Amino acid sequence: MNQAQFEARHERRWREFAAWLDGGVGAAAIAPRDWPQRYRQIAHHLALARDRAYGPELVDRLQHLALAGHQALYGSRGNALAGLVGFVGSGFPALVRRESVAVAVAAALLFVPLLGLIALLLRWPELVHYLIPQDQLASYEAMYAPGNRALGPRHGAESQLMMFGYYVWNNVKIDFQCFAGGLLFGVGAVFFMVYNGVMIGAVAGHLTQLGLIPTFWGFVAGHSSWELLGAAISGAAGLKLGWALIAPGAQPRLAALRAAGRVAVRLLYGAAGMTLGAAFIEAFWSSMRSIPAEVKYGVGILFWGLFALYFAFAGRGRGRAEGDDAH
Amino acid sequence: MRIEALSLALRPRTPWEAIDLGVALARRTGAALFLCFALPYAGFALAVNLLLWGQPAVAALVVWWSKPAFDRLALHVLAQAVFDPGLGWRRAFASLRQVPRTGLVAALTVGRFDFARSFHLPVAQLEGQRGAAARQRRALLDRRARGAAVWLGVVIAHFVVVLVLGADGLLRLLSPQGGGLSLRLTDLFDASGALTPLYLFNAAVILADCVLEPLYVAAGFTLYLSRRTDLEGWDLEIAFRRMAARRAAAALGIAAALVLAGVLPEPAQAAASPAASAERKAIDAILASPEFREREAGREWRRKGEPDARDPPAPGAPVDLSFLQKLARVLAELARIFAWFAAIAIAGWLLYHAWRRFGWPARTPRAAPAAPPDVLFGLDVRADALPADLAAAARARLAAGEPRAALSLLYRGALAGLLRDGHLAVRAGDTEGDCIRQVAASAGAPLTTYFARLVAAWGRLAYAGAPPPATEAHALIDDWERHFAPPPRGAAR
Amino acid sequence: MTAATPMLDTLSRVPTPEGFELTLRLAGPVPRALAYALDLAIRGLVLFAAATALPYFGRGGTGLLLLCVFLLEWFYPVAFEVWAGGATPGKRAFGLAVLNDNGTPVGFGASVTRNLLRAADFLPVLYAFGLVSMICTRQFQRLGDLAAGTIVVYRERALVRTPLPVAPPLAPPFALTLDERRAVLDFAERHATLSGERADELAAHATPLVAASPRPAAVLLGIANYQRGGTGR
Repeated sequence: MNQAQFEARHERRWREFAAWLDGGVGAAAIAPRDWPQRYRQIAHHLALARDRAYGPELVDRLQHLALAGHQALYGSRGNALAGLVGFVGSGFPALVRRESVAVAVAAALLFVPLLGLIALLLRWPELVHYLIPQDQLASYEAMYAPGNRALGPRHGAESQLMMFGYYVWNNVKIDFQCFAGGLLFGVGAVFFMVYNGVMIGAVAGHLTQLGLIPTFWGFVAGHSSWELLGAAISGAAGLKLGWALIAPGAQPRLAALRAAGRVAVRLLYGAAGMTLGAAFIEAFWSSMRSIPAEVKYGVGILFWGLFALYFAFAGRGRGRAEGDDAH
Repeated sequence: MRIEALSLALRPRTPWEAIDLGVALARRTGAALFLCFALPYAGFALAVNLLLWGQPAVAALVVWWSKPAFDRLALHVLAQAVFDPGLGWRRAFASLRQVPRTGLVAALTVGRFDFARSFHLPVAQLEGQRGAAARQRRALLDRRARGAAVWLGVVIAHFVVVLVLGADGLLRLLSPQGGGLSLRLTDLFDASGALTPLYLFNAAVILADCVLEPLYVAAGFTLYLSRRTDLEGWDLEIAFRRMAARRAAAALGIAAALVLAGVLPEPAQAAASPAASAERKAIDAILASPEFREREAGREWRRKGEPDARDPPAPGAPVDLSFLQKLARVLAELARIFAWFAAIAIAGWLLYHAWRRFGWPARTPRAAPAAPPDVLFGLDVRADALPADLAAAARARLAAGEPRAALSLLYRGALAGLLRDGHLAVRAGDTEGDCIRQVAASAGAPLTTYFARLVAAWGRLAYAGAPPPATEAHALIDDWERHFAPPPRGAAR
Repeated sequence: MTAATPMLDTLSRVPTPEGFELTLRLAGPVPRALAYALDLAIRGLVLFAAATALPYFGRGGTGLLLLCVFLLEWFYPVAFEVWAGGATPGKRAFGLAVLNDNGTPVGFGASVTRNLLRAADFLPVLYAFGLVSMICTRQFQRLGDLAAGTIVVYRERALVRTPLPVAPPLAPPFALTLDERRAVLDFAERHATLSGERADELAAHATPLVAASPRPAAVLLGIANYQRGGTGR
């Protein structure tokens, strides 16, 4: 068959394929279940044209169609919403269970200094001056003074939305810092975990020792589980990156980093989601003055309990299958 | 110019792609490019700053103004590197003396304000054009690439700022007090006259230049090459030449194949004797052991979602208990060490008690100092165990088709002779190589050479099962006679 | 020509299961920086508009503004990369697009990864790490690209058929390979940009085709016209 016959025979199908790629009027000419078949046919024609040394213009045209078909057919767009539901419902807790070592280490880096400083400051209150400057301490004390109308760093009726934006910006940024700090061989992640543990512990210990218990603990109780667990998990994601760089095992560092990155970034999605939740609760629930502290304690403990159940049981059995296709 | 010798892929490129190629070229040229620019440039900058001490702004201006002179060094190296990808920095450095000076004055005066400086530099430096001809040439080149060339300069200038502030930021990140260089752009306009920040700034800018200026020159150069490829159809020339070569080769094809078949050497020394196959197997077995396994990172097709057997265990695998194995291994290792200590302690205790009960064993007469050992490398090297006329015996073995026995005799004889003459003092654990070194230290060169030759032949035979060719074996025996012809028996101490 | 050192180029070749090869033209730091600057300007304009409008809503407005900053910072690139063919407006202006390094369109996961890791690329300030990483890696990848397995490439150009200079069609004296036919056509298409002497000089290199003709360029043009005529063998 010479080139002219070849072109005459297949011209119509090429035009249809091109129209389908453009998504224009002729697009409907190919039924969806035929797409892959038509694409393979283009690839086949391209191979034929090359092999028979047909003109470069024909080869280029077919190559162009094949490339565009490749771009149109490959790639995983997926259903973002279904993926999200699956991830929250089962993929994320299953992932956290799977990465329990990294999460446990990150949690220890955060919670040990935190709880340790609270204990230390209850015993030796003056230690706080080594950690936090006087003026900052004074502002914290003023924030949680019993007479305030609203609780938290700022007050004012319509400030909730503003504070929400501020919390999102600030907290999520910390998550990202912990994660990206993992790229510095994990040093950044470790630093930010311990640093945050120390700072939070120092403030909490100081305010507890001053006796501002109902205001401070009432304020933080609700979102503490969301925020602290989110920070620990984002730290775990950073540690995974760092560990892949330190001990890549039997593969090149870059390959190890990429493999760890795929897991770590999904931990980070979950952590960022939790931190977002924390910001929401912090802005709209924790700052409400009218709710008695006892109720807030109760809600806080309830969240901690729910998270324990969530991470222990959610998605058991089917977490793997659904968690793996999210990227 | 021999464009067929260019090690760049020639094809029509957009100006942006040509600039990217410059980055790749700079990366490939590597140390040759960056050192040849950085050393002279940084040295000059240092000298200027020292000469104009107290006036950092003036010094910075002088350094900045002179930069085109150093661009020439970078271009000179790059122009060689496009033909010679393996250009090392030593050779590049030696070639810097030949950098042409054409148009240097223009480059440092009018040309200093040319926004497409690195793009135009090859016109003056490589083509050697001047005056009106150069202007015309530049206008022709500019027609479709000037925009990109100017943007290149702008972007590189911004990259300098990024690296300067980045270096400062890195120091801030690393230092506990968050000090860093404390570079602030406002310091540049500070009238109070503090010099330190300005000098820090100068240093940071010079360092950033050392990285980015070669990149700038390389990108300008590839942009120039790409533009000439367009203008003169270099890629077409290569394709046409290749076609001509293909036709010529096709005509000569059959004849050439015949000639080649005659000329090609025999496949080098394939499977020697069947006797070697056992050793071959042993070698293969050793090469197959884990120590010799190669790890290779690569990409290949694999079904989606299908775990790769070579991957580390999938994260979803049931709880990984391999750490228990590792723990067990560590415990076992500790137990082993403990057992050794225990054994040594018990042995010591027993000895102690034996001594307490029986006193020292009666002294045996001391052995003569440095008595030659009887066995070396598993070979009996006592002079008595060797035949009187060793060379003849070896020849007989060789004639009988037993090269191993013949060489073994020679080797043992040589060792015995060396021990006897005091050239060797072998300790346990010495290797053949150690022996050769010892011989070299105390015996003459001919003997050392011979011994090394003999050791090598023996090693090939004993460990690889490859017997030496007959001529070599006979030569070894003859030489042995020359070196170790046994002296009268009585002389052996 | 030495076979040992491969020709330097900025391409990434990816074989597909369908038997053809994707040739991706990688984009380096300079055009990417320019595209980023354009995106930055666009985001700046949006933010400026938001900043002028939102304070009228009081402090809640400031909160919204912060949210707006956050979304522009982190999800402006993601949204365009996933839903607009792999290119933010800035990238589109420079003909760039983000792809997975196997040539497939970038998905949500990879896009989020590479854009969240901007935080790492930005360190210590102004994307210094990202710049160094782009200069040092073969595929011009910043840290986020490395972690997500993505590359930035020049988009495929649309095919345009340039008219050839008219010349009487001439059959080639022997069967040409694909590359040779391509070279002859390219020669004809670019004939206008070559000077007359250079065109003849070039064509003279195709010795087996032009065979000592006094006007070698005209011969090649004839062969090109013959090919364009579609009457190949």
